[in-house]
Amino acid sequence: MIKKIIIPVIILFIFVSCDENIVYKAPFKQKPVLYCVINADSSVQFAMLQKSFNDKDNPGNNYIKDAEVRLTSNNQSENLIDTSVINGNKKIDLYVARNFKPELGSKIKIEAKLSNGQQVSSSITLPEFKSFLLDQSGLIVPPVIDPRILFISWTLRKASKNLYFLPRLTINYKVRTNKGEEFRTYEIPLEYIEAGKKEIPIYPHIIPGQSILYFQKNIETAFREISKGDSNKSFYTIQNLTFEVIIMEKHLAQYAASIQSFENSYSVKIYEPLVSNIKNGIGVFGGYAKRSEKVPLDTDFVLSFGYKFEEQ
Amino acid sequence: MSFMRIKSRFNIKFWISTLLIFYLLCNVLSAQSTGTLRGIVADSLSGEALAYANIYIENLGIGASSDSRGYFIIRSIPVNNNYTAVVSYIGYKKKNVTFNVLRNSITDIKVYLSPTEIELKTVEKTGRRPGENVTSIGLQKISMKQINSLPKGVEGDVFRSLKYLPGIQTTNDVTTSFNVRGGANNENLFLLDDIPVYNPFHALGLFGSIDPEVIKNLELHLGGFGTKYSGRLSSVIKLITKDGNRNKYKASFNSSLMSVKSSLQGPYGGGSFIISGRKSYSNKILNNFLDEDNIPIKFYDLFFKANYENPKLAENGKFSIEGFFSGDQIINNNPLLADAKWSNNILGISWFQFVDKPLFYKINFSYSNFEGEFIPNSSGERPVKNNVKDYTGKIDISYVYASKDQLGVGIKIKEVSTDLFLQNSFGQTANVGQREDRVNVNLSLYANYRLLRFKDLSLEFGSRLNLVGLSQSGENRYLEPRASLSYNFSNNLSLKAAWGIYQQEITTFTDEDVVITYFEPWIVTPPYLNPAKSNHYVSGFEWNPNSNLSLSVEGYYKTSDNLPVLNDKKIFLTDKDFVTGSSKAYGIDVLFRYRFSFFNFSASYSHGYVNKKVDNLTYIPRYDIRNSLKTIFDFNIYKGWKASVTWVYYSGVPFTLLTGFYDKLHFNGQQNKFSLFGSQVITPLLGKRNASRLPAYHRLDLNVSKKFDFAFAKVYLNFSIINVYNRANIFYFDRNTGQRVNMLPFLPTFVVKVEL
Repeated sequence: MIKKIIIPVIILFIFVSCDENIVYKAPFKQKPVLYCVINADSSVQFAMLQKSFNDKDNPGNNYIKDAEVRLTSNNQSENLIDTSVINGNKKIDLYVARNFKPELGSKIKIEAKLSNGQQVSSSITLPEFKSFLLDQSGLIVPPVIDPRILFISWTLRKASKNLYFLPRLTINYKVRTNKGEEFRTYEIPLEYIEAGKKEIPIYPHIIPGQSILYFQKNIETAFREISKGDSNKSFYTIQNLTFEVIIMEKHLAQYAASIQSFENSYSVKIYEPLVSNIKNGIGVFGGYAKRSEKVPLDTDFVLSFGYKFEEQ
Repeated sequence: MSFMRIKSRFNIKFWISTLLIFYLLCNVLSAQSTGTLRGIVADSLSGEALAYANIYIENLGIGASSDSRGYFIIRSIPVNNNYTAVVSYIGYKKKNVTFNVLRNSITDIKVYLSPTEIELKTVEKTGRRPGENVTSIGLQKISMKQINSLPKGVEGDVFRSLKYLPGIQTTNDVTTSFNVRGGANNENLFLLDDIPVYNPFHALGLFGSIDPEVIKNLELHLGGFGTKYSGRLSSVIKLITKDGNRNKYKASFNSSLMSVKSSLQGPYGGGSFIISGRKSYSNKILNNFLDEDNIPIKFYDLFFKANYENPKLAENGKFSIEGFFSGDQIINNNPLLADAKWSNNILGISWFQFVDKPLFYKINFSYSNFEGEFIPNSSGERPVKNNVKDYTGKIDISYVYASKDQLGVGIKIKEVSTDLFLQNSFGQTANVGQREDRVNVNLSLYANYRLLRFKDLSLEFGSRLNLVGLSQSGENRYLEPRASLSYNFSNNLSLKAAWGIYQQEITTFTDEDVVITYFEPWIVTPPYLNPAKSNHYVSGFEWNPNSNLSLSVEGYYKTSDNLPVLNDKKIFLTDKDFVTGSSKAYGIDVLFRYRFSFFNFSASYSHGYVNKKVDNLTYIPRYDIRNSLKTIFDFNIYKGWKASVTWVYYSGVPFTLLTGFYDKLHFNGQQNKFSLFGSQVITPLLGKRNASRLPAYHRLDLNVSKKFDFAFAKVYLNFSIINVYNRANIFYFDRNTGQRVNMLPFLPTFVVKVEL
C-alpha cells in the first residue's frame, strides 16, 4: 500500500511544490507630497512639493519643479515662486511667497498644479485670537508660592476652538568670547532623563491645554548647563527668561504630534500613523502663530550662578 | 476597597439559605425506591483514571461516561436486582462488572481496564454510546495517545497537535499560537487542570511549555462552551494532567535534538505523584524555525503533582497539589543585540470530594504568575517588562438527579494584578498595566442545569453572574447566559446547537501586525474601555453510521464588541493606547474520521470569514484563513512499526501591500519648530489594510515510530520529517529590505524515549 499510494503522492507533491513569487508591492502610482506651514507672523511663506517613489534604495531627487503653486486667503492671493536654498550641504527646492501675510483666523487654501496635470490642494483656518496674555500673578523665577514648581498659564482672548500649543521657556544670554560677544538662547527642558552616562533633556509636547509646569530644579540645572565646563562664569550675562507659545491649528498639531507620539509614546506600534490633510496627495498644510512674554527673574537668583544680569 | 464592596453585598445569610435550598432539593429528589451506582474507571497498569470511558448497564439500557477525572454516577437503578455494567474504552479490553444497588444508597465500584495491544485505535470518541444524548457542541476531547501518534517534529507538543483540528487556524507554522473560529489569539484560555496559564509557550512560541508527558487528556472548547468557564471570548483549552502511577514506580528519559527530559512517577502512602522536568541543550534546530544563524534560546520546565487519599480522613475525597515552573531566555552576549527572558510560576491545590449523596464538589486555589522582560541593551529598541499575578479560588459543585438531570453550581473569586512597564524614546518609563486606585477582582457565580432525562433530547442552560468585574470599567454586575441542546434524530444522527454570551476583561498589549513576539504582555482591560463581549451561535450535526465512521459538521456565527485594539491613530500623548473594535466571524467546520483495523484516517475542513471594524474601517484581520484542509493518515507498517502522514493546506493569509515610499518631514529643529528644513525620513506608504493575500500554505509531514520492549526498559524511537517536499511557505517579507523569510524547510528530526 505504501508503494502504491504514499510514495506516488509524495513524488507528486515534490513536483507541484514550486516556489511562488510574491508580489508584495502594489503597482506603483506616484503620489504628490506637499508640505506647507503658514507662519501667521511672517509675510514669507514656503511650500515644498515632492513625489513618492518606488525604490527605497534609489529615491533620487523627488522635488517637483515647475508646478503652479498658489496660496489664497480671504483678501489676498499669491503664486509661489520656484526656488532653491542651500541648507548645510543640501540643496532644497522650494516654492516661496514673499508677500503673503494672512490675518489670524483667516481661511487659507493652497493649490498646486503639477506639470503632468495632477492637482493637490488643502485648506485650513489659521488660529484666531485677539490677544495673548500670560498670567503674571506670582510669576517669578525662582517661584515664591511653591519653591519647587513654576506654574505658567496663559489666556487667549476671543480665541477660536481646537487650538493646540507648544510652549517653550528659554534663557536669553550673551557670552563674552575671543571673537566678541555672542547672543545665545537655551531652552529649559521639562526634565532631564538619565540614559546611561548621559542626561537627555525632555522638552514640552504639543498640548491642547493652556498651562505648563516646570520644576525649579530643572530650571537651575539649565542655568548651570549654559556655562558647563567654563570657569569664567562672569563672562555670561543673562538678559531675560522668555516664555514662548506656538499656537497652531489642528492639522499641523496632529501631524507634528503624530511624529512626536510615535517617537515618545509608551507603545509597541510598528508603523507611524499616517496623518495628512492633502487632497489627492499626502503631507501637511498647517498654520501657526507665535507669541512670547518675559518671565520675571530674581536678580539674586541669577547672580548665585556667578553670572551678570542685565535685564533686556 | 473592592473586597469591602463584595462583603457588603453578600452576607452569611445569603450563603446559608442558598446551600439549604440546594440541600433540600437534593434530598427531595433523591427519595426514590432506587439506588445509585458511582465509580471510577482507571488503567489497570498505572492506576491512572480514564476520562470519557463508557459505562453501560445492559439490563436497563442506560449508561454514562466518566468525566475528565474518571468518575461517573448513574442514578435511578431499581433495587433488588443484579446488573452487569459493560465498561469500555477504546484501546482497552472491555470489562463486565456485576453489581447491585440498595434503596436510597450509593454503590461504589472501581473498574480497572487493561490496555489492548491494538494501540492504533487511539482516536477515542467521547464515551458516547448508541442512543446517548449529549450537549457538548464545539468540544473536542483528545487523549495523549492520539497526540503521540502525530508527527512529533522537534518536540512532541500538545498545542501544535491542535492545529490538525477544524476551527483552529494558524497564520504560520513557526509559532504554536493559534486562532479559534475567527477570534484573536488572546481570546483563548489555557488551563492546566483548573489553573490559568498566561504564556504557555517556549522559545518565541515555537512550541508549548507544558510537557506532553504529564498530560493525560485535553479538552478543547471551540465555542458555545458552558457556564463553568469564563474569562475568554473564543475558546478554552484545558490540559488534564496525570496523577502518577498508582501501582509502581516508573521513570522515563527522553531526548530530542533540542532538549532532554526525564520523569518519575509512582505510588506513596495514600496517593501517587509525578514529577517531570525538561531542559534545552541545543538551539541548532531552532535556527531552522526562524531562518536565523543563531538564536541563543535556553529554556526549562518542571511539573510536579501529588495526590493524597485517606478514607479515614475523608472517604471518597482526594487532595492534590501541583506546580508548574517554566523559564525561557535569549541571551545574545552582544551589547548590540536585545535579550529577553520570561517565566511562568504556577501553584495549585485542590480538594475533590464525593459525599453520601450523588453529589460531588471540588475546591481549588491557585496562583499563576507570568513575568516577561525584554532587555534592549544597546540595540536601540525599547524595554518591556510584564508581571502578571493571578490568584483564583473556586468551588464547583455537581449534583446528579434521579432523572439523570444534572445541576452544576459554582463560585469563583479572582484577583489579577498586571504591571506592564514600557519606555518611550527618551527613557521615561511608565506602568501602563496597573491601576493604582483599586485591585482588580472578579467575583462570579454560575449555575447550569443539564436536562438529560429524555432519551433523545438533552438541554443545558445556565448563566454566569459576575458580581464584580475585573476591570471595573463596564457594568459591575452582568450576566453571561448560555444554552445548548442536542437531539438524536436517529441512532446515528444527532443535531446540536448552542448559544452563549462571553466576556473578557484582560487583553494583550501587542500589535496585530507583528508576526512574532518574544512573549505577549497581558494587562487588565484599561478602565476607559468596556469589557469585550462575544455572542456565539453554533449549530451542527454528528453522524455515526457505524463504529468506524464519523462525520461532524458545525456552523458558527460569532460577533464580538468592545475588543481592545492598540490605537494605531494615537497622535497626542494624552490619546489612549487602546480603542475598541468589533468583529464578526462565521464559517463551517467539518471533521471526518474513519477507523479501520490497521489504519485511521481523519480529515478536517474549515471555511470561515472574519471581519474586524476599528474606527469605522472594516478590514480582514491576518487570521482570516478562508479555507483549510488538514488530513491525518496513521497506520501500522509491520511488527509494531507505525507511521503517520499528515498534510495540511491553508489558503493564504491577508497582508497589506506596499504602494511606495515618501520622504516624511520631521519637524525636529529645536529653534525653528516648523521649518521645512527639518530632516526627512524615508517612510513606507501602505495600501488598503490586508487587501491582498500571501500564497497558500501546504506541508506534508511523515512520522515513523516503534516501541521496543526489553526486560529492563521500554524504548520508543520516533523519526519525523517536517515538510517532506520542502515547500517554500512564506512566513513574512521585510518591507524595508524586501527580503522574504520562509517557514520551516525540509527538516528531519529524531526523538528517543526510554521508560524504566
